[in-house]
Amino acid sequence: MRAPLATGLILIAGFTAAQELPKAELKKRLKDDAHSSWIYDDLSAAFAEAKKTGKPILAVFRCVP
Amino acid sequence: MDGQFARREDVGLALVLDRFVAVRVVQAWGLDLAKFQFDWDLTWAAVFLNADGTIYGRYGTRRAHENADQEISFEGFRYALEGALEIHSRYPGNAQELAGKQASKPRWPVPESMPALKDRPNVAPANGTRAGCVHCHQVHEGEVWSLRKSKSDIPDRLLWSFPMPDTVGLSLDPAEGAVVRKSELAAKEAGFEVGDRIRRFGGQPILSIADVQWVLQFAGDGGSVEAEVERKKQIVPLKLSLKGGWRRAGDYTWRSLAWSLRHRLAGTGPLKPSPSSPRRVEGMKEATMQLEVVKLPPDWVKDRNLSAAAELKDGDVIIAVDGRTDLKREADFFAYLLQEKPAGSSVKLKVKRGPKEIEAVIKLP
Repeated sequence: MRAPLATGLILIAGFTAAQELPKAELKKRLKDDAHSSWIYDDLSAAFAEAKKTGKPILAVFRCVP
Repeated sequence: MDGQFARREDVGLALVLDRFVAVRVVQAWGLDLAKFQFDWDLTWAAVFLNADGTIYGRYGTRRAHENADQEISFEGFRYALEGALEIHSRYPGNAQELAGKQASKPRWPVPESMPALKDRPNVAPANGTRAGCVHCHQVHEGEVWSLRKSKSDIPDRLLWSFPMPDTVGLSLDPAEGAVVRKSELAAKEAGFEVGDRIRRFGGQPILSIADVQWVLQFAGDGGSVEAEVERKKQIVPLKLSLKGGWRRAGDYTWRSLAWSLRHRLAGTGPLKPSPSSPRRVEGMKEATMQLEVVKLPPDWVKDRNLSAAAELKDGDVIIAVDGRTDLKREADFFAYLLQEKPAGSSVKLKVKRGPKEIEAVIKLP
């Protein structure tokens, strides 16, 4: 049972990844000129960076456009 | 403000920003609602938190559709950022006082799992267009319509959400954290004075007006909220009493949610209190219900209530609903339809159309 389940999960992950635009491309399409120091639309990356550095997180939610 | 801030044009603010891991989120797709909850109808919102997910505070306030930046400022935001750093410096020793700032358990884990959002064409990862994005305001709409779809009660807290402190008589200065610039009604009775800086509210440290709204959002009817204010370098304890139905003194019809209520429930555009209607001129009492249909939605609004749209016309004035004439504001009218009329039921409207009075029966989704 494990192999089909794992295959299924990989397929789902692959499908989701295929649907999502690379963040740099999303930023470009949105014509969002936010400074390059922002982690762009990636909360997981922000949590990982905060764990590494010990800094708090500032998450800004903005509808663009 | 967003553009200037995102581009780091204010040097002082940018230096404070460097002490954070700063992430800019431009879509609500996949957003963990067990962690992130805030006023969904803002155009710009900020949350300060620890890497373990503990929320330190929120920033971002809006009171109307127009002038969306009226209640936010660089000064106020910088105050909140510095306050969040101070909280972070004491963490985890201060974890207990932050407990009330954490998100409540959501019924749906992510926006796209809400039944009312599932069939929406834009519910997918953002593709760089306005129509290809789950917007934050849809989280609020999704919750309300999903509850209706599942025949669950819709509490006042979801309609009159994130009450402005003015609702309890507190006018706060956007250029400060939460400093009182006017105190009246319940706030005055509680002893709030002009110039007081709210340090704690509901036991939580306060960084912003949004933090005050967060406490009010979960405050019950007929309860009270403990506060601590700084006044002339002294900490003064106060107790704010909230009467039954207190949050209904506010308004929610500036929120995006109101458009879906208009379209889907009444099949109309905005319903405005009608001071110029003939009935008013004829001497009808000021307090009587008169909601004028300002505009019907265009055909491209797919989910408009077609049965209602067939019954009502531009310029109609609704003067009674199921025999009730006390629903004077648009907010009261839609709250009645949502909270007291189940999906699939009908509502009887008495409508003034020109010189005639007609009856319209509309079926509710």
